[in-house]
Amino acid sequence: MEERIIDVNFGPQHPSTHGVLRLKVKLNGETIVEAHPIIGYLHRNAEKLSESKFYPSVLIFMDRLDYVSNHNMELGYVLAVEKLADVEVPERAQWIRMMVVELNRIASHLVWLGTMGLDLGMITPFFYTFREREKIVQMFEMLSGARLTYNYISIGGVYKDVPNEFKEKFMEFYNEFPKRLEEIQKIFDENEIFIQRMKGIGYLSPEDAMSYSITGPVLRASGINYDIRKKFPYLHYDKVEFEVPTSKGCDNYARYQVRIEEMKQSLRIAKQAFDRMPEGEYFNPLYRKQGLLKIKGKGEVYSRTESPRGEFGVYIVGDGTYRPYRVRIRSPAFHNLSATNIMVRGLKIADMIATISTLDPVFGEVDR
Amino acid sequence: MINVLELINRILIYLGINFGMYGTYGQYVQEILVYLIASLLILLAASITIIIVIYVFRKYMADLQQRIGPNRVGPYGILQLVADALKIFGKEDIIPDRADPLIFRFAPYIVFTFLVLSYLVIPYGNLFGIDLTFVNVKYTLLLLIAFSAIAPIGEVLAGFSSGNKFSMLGALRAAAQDLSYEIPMVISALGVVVLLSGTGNSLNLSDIAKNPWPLAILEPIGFFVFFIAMVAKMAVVPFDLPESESELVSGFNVEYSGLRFGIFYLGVFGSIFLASLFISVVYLGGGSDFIFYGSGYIWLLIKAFIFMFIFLTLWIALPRIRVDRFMNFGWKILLPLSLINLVWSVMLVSLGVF
Repeated sequence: MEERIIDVNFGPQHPSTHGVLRLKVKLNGETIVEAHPIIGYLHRNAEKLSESKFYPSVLIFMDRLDYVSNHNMELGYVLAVEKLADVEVPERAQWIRMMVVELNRIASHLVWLGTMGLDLGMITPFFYTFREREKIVQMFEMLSGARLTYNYISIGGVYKDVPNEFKEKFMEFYNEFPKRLEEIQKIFDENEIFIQRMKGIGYLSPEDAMSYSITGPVLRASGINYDIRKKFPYLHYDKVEFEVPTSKGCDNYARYQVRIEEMKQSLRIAKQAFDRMPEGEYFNPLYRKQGLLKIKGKGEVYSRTESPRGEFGVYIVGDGTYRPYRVRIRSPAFHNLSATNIMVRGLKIADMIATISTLDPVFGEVDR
Repeated sequence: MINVLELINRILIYLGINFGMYGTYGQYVQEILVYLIASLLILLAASITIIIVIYVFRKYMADLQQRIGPNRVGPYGILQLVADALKIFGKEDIIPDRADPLIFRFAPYIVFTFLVLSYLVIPYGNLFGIDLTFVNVKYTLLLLIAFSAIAPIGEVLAGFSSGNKFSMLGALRAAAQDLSYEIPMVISALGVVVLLSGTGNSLNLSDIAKNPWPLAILEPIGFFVFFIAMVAKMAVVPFDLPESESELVSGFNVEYSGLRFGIFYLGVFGSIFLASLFISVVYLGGGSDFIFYGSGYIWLLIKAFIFMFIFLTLWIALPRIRVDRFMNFGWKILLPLSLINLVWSVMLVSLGVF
């Protein structure tokens, strides 16, 4: 029988490429011979544009990087600037930041869970996960007034204090979410087709994961216990109790499990941060008086934070002016996506879609 | 009990249209006229049914997903489909440059025509003394299987003639899927035929429906295989491989727009209800009277709606199965099971149980 390999372009306009990923795929029937991700369709020049803005103004670009977990992106940049300009942050703000970031991690993983269901052809769980996410988004709306681009975590603290209604809402969410998550988890875990579609598919060995510098849940699902919150603690992550879920499965199902566990751990951290939040200032009084535009710094800094997708790094070079000389962003989803080809070779088309969705790329961040 | 065709004929004669009195050829003309009216009736009934099915599906899905569903156009959103249809009529009918124009134009009609023809063959049972059997030939079971086997060919043609790689993949999947479910389906239906071979014409759907036992109890394996094959036949989740919108964008109908796309869309829902009717006629007594004389048609509708809700729930709840796994499932599980069912039917007959 004659074998013919055909080239197919998946995307950039495709229902399950999570935005604008383009995949150049060589197909032998239904089997994938090669798949190369082509990126850049959402490039907005965030790094270069940052050089022309004042330090606090750059924050709006960070918000738009990973539009599913905006708080995490803001945090990465803000920590870098605070390191560069020696900004002191009140204790209360640190705990608020931690709580907000962890809630955002839950929201991000919920979006991932729903869209992964869509990629597998399950329409219904999407609505359940978005129902839960909506509660978190409403909490964020209470804090910052925005639903998507919050601009909340700011240099020198946070933009607004936690309002009183927030506490009630948070406790309600804290009590209800584990039950809801279990419900959603059941839809997936008790489904034989789902297990078949996930187990043993998209194998990523620990060696490959390390050599492609993969981070985040994808790395931990390959059996490597590496979490920046534990290894290089920032904020107060060394003062709270939490576990880093890992799995030795190395496949799609392991990545699914790790993310589900992470949601539970994130809720734990958020609760601790919520409880231990001291009274006091939420924003550095010095900067309230003189304004943030006077911030300047000289030297090089690199801040690393654990975003829902992995290590989010911000490297800033300051030349002593009010604007950064260079801002470089290390995008976790970009590195994770680079392993696509080795993960999907030899699989079927349907498995490729499932594998890419477990990598959870967000293209605002990949293309920057 | 009066047959529906006879009824139409009488109404025509009552209205003064009677070609029958002009000799043999006139009788032919009269018959053709009666069949034409009957077909139009079925076309109308099928279209209305499809619209009801789509509305029920959207409301039901919205309910399971904690949404409200269509609620703006008309009371409870019942006119939403009219609005959708008007929108679809207004769309440009695009034929791609790379497409084979003739086949591309005709493929949707093949799907829809044979869908409506399949509706024509089903015996709808007794409604207040009117026998709603439109086709009075002996082998309606074979006819129904044949008609329903042609619809996927329309999908394959649509996929191949579009000149698009995604739709070609969809067409390949449609062809492969078609083979994997159709053979087990036919063999499990053969079980019914063998079982009823002693009781008259077992290839006629009305006779199959008439037997007092619900065959689903006598032939659980055959019923199971037939049920799965029906889910595969209508090509919805978990077996919507030819379409699979998250993999092949929209599969075989990716290049279609406007009215032609609308016909495919109607075809999906039409085949869901057809499958529900088919399975209730063959395995659950169809439109035979139960409790009240003349209530057969209503019982058939109730049975079909129950099956329809089962199919829709599967659609809403399950993920899509992978294409090679489905082939394995069809050839390695469904086919042996249907053969076991055939042996089981032969045993039942030869032991004189039935």
